[in-house]
Amino acid sequence: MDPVTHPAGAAGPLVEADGLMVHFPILGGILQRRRGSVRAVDGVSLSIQRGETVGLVGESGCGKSTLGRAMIKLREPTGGSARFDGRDLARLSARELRRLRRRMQIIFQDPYGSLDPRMSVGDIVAEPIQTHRLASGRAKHERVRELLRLVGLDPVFAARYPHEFSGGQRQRIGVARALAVEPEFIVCDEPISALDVSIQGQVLNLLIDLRRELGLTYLFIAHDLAVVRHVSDRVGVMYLGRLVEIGASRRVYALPAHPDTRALLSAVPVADPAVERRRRRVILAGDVPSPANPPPGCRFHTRCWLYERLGRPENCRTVEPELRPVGADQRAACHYAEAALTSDVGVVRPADAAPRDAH
Amino acid sequence: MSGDGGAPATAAEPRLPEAAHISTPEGRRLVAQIGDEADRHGRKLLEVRNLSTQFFTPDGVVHAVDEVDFDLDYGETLGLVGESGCGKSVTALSIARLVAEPPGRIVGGEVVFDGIDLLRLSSEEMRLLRGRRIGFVFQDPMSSLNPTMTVGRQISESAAAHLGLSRPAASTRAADLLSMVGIPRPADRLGDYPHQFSGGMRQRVMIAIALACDPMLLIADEPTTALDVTVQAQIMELLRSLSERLRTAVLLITHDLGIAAGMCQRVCVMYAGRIVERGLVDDIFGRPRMPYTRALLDSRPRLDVEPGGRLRTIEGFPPDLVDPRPACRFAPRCAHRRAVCDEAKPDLTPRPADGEGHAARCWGTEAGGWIP
Repeated sequence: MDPVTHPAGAAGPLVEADGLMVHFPILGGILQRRRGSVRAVDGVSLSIQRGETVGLVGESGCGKSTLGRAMIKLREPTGGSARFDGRDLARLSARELRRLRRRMQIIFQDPYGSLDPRMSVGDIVAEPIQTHRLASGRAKHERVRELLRLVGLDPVFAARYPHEFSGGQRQRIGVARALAVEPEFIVCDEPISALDVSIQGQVLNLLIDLRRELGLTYLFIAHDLAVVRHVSDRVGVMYLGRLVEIGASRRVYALPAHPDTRALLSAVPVADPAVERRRRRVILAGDVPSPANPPPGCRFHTRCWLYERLGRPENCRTVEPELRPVGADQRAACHYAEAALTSDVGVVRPADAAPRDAH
Repeated sequence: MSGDGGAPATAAEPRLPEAAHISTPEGRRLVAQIGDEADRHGRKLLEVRNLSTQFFTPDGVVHAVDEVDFDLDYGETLGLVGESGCGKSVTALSIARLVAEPPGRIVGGEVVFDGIDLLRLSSEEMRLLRGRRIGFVFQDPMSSLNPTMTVGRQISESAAAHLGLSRPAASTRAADLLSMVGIPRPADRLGDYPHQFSGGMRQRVMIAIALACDPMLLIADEPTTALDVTVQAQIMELLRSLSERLRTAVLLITHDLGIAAGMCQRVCVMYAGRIVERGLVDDIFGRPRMPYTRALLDSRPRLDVEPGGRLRTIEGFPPDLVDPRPACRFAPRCAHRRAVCDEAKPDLTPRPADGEGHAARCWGTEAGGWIP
């Protein structure tokens, strides 16, 4: 793809969140007065380098999708800042923002809901090309065909409508539309979780191939930890609006430093009966607390297995832990990350690398 | 182990009185007859034979379930695994005679439950049997729970109707059941409505309702698909411990091979309306003899395998089940396809070298086949 439209990338991250917050008001009473707020994203700092893929995992309601949207200003942050290529998105004029939008796109989870059923596939893919006046007439038509080929669809499909396609094909259409404006950064928000198992791999491979061919930068949001490890250079774990761990994928999956990361890993089912029989699971108690009223101190302490094991240390209830370095290219927000690191909870070893059941 | 994954030890073991309140003589005979341990004569709890279910739609006849054949033993957990549209849910609905008719119809086969062919029962007899002997847990508890009725009433109504319990006895039983499924302060929660519970807690309530009459079979259709992975682990742990303790057989329908690996003793893999492989869980995952099973296992990244390189994917997508091809239905997507795969229908045949009871529907892995 033609890189001319992209300003030569200076050093520094392509995308950056600094203390980013997104609070939603809770309205109540007949006057609909503000009664409080849901702190969906509550002070997250995260930077993504050019060409890098950062994965974001966490339970539903942890704020990972809201963070992804706020980083490209699809959601208005209520605090902190989001920067793209060094420019603060909040300080741009509408026109400047519109120009910048071209360079950042999003792919949604639901390939059914995100495509207009009354538009042909060709029109769906062409729309952003028109909006940004990138091509018209024959050139536009040719560009749509090229994009469909790029995502593995037959260009003759341009005349058809979304309902004629399977879920995997619709997700390809969504990818083609996102690529139409030649973006540099794509937020992939649960891009494969609505798809069938045999189709998920196809779309995942497509996203990985496109990243290499087009030099794309991804924020890859998903609840499936194995999928996130497969695509990500670095991975971040969120809990109740906060980033609780971030680091190189290799490192975080091999030596998780936050008890929540270990609990999430421990809960993932593995398609090997021998591994499943041998695993020791920590099962988190209860559900995620309300983000409108997060627990004091460490937000995770009400469900934390390590807190229980350590005899409920007081500072977990009173002092919110900072995200601090705990290893090479790894940070965690836990007072007892060193204890978490030495635990064997949650780490899955291959069946053949571990001793067979002794009993 | 921390958390509330297991049921408290204080929970009452469900013990059933005789089925005194069942209204029809046929029904009484049925419920009395079913479940008599002395009368099993080596048969299985559920014997599904050549079950076929079709849907008659304007676009044609959809062969949703095509000669499906499997057994489920007393107390066993069997997985029915496959992608959406493979017929796994319709198989479960057919067993319970819950297929909407029209457009659906069970067009052939037998479903022998504890010695009785369910397909020959009247709908009234079937209704009695369902509440009493077969429990259901579906993916979305919100769509199966009544939003306008307290959970206590929903549980005790089932117990009262099928077990003939008095109202106070049914209410006590409802609290016992809530406690058994790990809901804290069960007596206080009886008066709550479904929306007052979280997704995971609602699924626990569904399990309590399903177990209210101490069924012999629990059909769980994607019971954790809508839940977070941590809550999924809680619910799976609960189902596992309850089925062991109550010796309830479970037919677990899932698209998630990891869940099947952790929960089931045996697994049936379905593709395009047919069972394509079946066997003990270790044999299915360790020595799959149907390329589709192998490909499914390979097509997802796994936590127990170092990442790297491209995923081996299954190209194309599952076939349309209106007028499906008579030959191997996976052949158009199969890397090992040969001419015979497009010419003749492979049968589900034994693979004794790859495990007891292991069977696969594949020309390539038959004796003398070309797939190693």
